[in-house]
Amino acid sequence: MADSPARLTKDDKERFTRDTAPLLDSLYGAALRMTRNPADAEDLLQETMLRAYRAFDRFEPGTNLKAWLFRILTNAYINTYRKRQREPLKVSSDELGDFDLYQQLKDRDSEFGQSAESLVLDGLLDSDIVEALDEIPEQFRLAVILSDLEGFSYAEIAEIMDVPMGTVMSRLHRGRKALQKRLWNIARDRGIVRGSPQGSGEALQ
Amino acid sequence: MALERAYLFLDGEILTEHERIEIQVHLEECQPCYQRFGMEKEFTILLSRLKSQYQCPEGLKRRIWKRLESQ
Repeated sequence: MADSPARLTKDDKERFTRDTAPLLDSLYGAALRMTRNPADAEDLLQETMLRAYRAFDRFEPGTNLKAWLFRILTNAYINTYRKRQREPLKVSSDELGDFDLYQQLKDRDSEFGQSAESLVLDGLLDSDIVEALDEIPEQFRLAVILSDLEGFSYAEIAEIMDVPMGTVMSRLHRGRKALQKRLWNIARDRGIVRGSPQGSGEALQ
Repeated sequence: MALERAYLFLDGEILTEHERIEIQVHLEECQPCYQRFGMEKEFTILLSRLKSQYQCPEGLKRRIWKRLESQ
């Protein structure tokens, strides 16, 4: 069987365990933010590790193991778990509106008599950020997870997601904008700021 | 300074020393860009903070190693 790990020597098996163990927390965190629930994240991580183990004889020692594992994770998520989850694959026109958090915050500085930026960003909880991240469209979410949570370079993300670098940059940029827009809405809902999501500002003028 | 460029810089993707210095000098001189850059930086720090929250459950680790052993 082509996928049999029988070709792995005892040394290979030990090396697999030793080298992948320190990456499990990262992989689990990414799996959780991809699937957005712990049960699916557990299944996804198990599936990823099994696939990686079976393919380990094709991993080139000395190359980037973390990127290799994340590529397997991302593929497993896209091919398996995404199908289970209801999510529109197309981006709504609402996502594409050019929201500018910085401008929103600048417009509010006079309202607070201090920097709206620190007020809003400091006022947000980690759970708010998770909520906002979970709501942005998948392709954007993946790019943001890989870049901002995991710290992969654009070139590594291009490799992991199997898309050109320009696509990575565009998804990352749009993902961050969509995320900022949601965080702004959350800040507004929680009463940290007042006003409309798109900054027509009628509430204050 | 375009936002994409600010992010390239933030993400460590500007490759040449010349480009890096050019942006640094601009940020020192241009207050609006400096403020915007600061906000975008804060925002990425907020996101990166999430990462440290996640730990793979011990039970899951055990199940993974056990399953691989049986392979």
